[in-house]
Amino acid sequence: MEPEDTQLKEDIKTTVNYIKQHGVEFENKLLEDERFSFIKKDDPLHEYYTKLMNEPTDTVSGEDNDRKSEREIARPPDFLFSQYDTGISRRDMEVIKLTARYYAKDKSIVEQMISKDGEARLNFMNSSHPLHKTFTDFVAQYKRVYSFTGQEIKKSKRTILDNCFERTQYWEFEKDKDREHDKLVELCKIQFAAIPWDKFTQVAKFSIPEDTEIFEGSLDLEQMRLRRVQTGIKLFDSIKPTNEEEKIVSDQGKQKGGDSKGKKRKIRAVGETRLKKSKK
Amino acid sequence: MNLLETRRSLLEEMEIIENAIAERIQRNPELYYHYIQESSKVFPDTKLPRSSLIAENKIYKFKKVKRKRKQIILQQHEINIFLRDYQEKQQTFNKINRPEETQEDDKDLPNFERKLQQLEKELKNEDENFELDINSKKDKYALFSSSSDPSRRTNILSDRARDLDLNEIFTRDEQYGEYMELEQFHSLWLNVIKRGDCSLLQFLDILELFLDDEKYLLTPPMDRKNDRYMAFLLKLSKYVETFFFKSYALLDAAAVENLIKSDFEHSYCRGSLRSEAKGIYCPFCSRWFKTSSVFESHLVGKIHKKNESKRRNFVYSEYKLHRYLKYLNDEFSRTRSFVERKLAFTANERMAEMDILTQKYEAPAYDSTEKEGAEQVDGEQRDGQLQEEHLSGKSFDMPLGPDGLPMPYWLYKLHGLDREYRCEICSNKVYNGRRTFERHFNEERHIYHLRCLGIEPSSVFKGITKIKEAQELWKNMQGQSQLTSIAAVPPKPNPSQLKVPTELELEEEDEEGNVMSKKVYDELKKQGLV
Repeated sequence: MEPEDTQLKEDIKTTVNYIKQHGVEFENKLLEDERFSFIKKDDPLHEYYTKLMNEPTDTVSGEDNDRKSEREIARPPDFLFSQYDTGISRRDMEVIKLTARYYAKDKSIVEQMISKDGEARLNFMNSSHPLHKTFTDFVAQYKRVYSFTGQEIKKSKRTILDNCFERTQYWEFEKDKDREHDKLVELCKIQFAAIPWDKFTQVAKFSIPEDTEIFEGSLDLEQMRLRRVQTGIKLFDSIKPTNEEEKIVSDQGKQKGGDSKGKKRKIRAVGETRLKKSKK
Repeated sequence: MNLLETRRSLLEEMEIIENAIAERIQRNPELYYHYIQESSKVFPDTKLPRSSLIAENKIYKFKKVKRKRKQIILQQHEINIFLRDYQEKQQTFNKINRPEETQEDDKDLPNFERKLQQLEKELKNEDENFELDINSKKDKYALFSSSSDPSRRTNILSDRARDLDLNEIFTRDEQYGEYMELEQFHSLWLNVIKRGDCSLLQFLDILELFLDDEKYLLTPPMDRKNDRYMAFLLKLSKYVETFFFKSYALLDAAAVENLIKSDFEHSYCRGSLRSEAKGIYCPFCSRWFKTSSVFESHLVGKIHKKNESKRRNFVYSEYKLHRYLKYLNDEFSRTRSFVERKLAFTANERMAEMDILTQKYEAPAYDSTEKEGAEQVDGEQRDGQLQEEHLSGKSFDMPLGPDGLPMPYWLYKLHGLDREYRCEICSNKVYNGRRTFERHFNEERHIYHLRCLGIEPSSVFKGITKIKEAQELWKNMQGQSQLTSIAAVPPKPNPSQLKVPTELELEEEDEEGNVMSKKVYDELKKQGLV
């Protein structure tokens, strides 16, 4: 019953797997091709084809279950207090911390502050701000600290070590999954490259209603690049336009004029920042 | 600083410490396996990882590089320092975490505004300062952070534990917990027994009594009430206990001590040693008591109380020695083997052995040539057979390359894999691509089939795929070979010619040293010139 030709045998097997995945309707498309004559009922190889179609895939699924049970490792609880973004200046970080502290205590205080002045310094509370996630991280941290009030942490040496070992196992498991994922991505790229782009068939045509609004605004690259709480980078502290100067004077009427003049930018040596970052 | 921020900061540091420990275990899981195996002896409820993971130093499926013992023990001591820090911060957190202490003054809007202004003023110059506290904390506990040069790894220790010197903790003969240093106690023992005929091996035999549950009580090496014996045992017990905790730094010392103390109070002193014939044994009185009731009544007696108050320390030390020696059974065996080997050495061999030990003792814990990071990941690679089949199924028209993986069609054609070449000699096997076809002429399959046809393989047959052609060529080669052999037969030598080379080969030398043939020499001689 089996065909003598190995290639033909392989072709039938592959076709069976394909049809099992995409459904029996796909058979009709293949009938037009002479290579798939075995799908026809009067073909001598049709019996072998039918046999493969009716064969269950228990072996593969059983094997897969074994691998899954071996593979699963419980995920340890995430670190909460040490995972925030650290590429922020110290002053900005302190401002975020202070605001998050009050916000965790009582939301209305900070909201009053915003509605009152329209504070530019508190723009990070908008969800579109790049530092908003850091702010929400700190709010979550402070709320967690509040929930700890009255409770005692009692982790023994043994417990800590066991937790560390479980975390290590999970890291290795994640690494393995990442590797498998990368392999899959690579295969998808190969598959994409193998598409015969010169053999397309028009399947259907549809028209977009004219009144549909499908365009989004362009990305604000300046805003995305921002790493500060305050909008607008001051590149020239000493130079001020005339109208802005008047505004500053009126705003800081109570304060001394010497304060703003004394503000200076720290000049770093060449490569200092890069070396510090590489050291970390 | 604000109390809320203080508490958050403490929790942050605890997490950083936990992360640092996990990183070290990931780099070398033997740090954990070495500890957990010993822990399972002390605490029977300890759950051990799979033995195959421990034997191969694996985590999950990935094998890690084996490291030196000195490095393992050093890192364990470093982790112990981290854990001590963790416990301190935990205590501090619990102390300031009480409800009455968490009364905050941050309650209203003017307070917030004032604080914001104050913060802006204080941190006016910190606008460009990107050195946050958390980064310095992470550096403090990071691997290799105590190296003097940041770009080169010279020291595996963190900045926090940079002053840790393992050679101050262990002596050379102890080799970081591999052997126990018992020779000093041998000298003490000779003083105790007041005799000089006890050798070191015999002394170790005496110590082996303490590995058994009964022998050190029922058949002690000498009278258990002897003052010198008691003093000796106190010292020995202290050393063994210290050795145990410095060899296994990750074990919780307080928990182990509590366990032993509890066992001592609740079962050892209340008659754990029992016999069917003799009854119940009291370690303080060194006597057997027939029945349980007699034993119970003797506990409240005057003699027992006197014995207990007088000899409690000794009995406890004796018990501790017994327990710790059981835990250190492996180390004790290794020490005994080492002593036996040392006694069998000649003077030169002993000197060489000591040099080796000294070398290991003085070598640095970390060698900069050691494998790190991805270099050491050479674990078992699971094949993605199912995944490949799945993907192959999706792309029906994708051809398979020589390696069995799907190959882009353009690449398939570029290599010429779409052309088929058939070899009749190899049972009509089809080869895809010119390169594969050309290469197969030198392969085993083709050569085998040529031999089956009675043809000796050679480069002449390269490119021939038809059986008929090959056989014809073989016949022609056979014919040419015969003709050549016939022509190559040398003719028989003529006897008249045999003399010519013999005659020509004779040479003479005159007075001046000139070499010439015999004929020339004879002629010149006749003329009187030579």
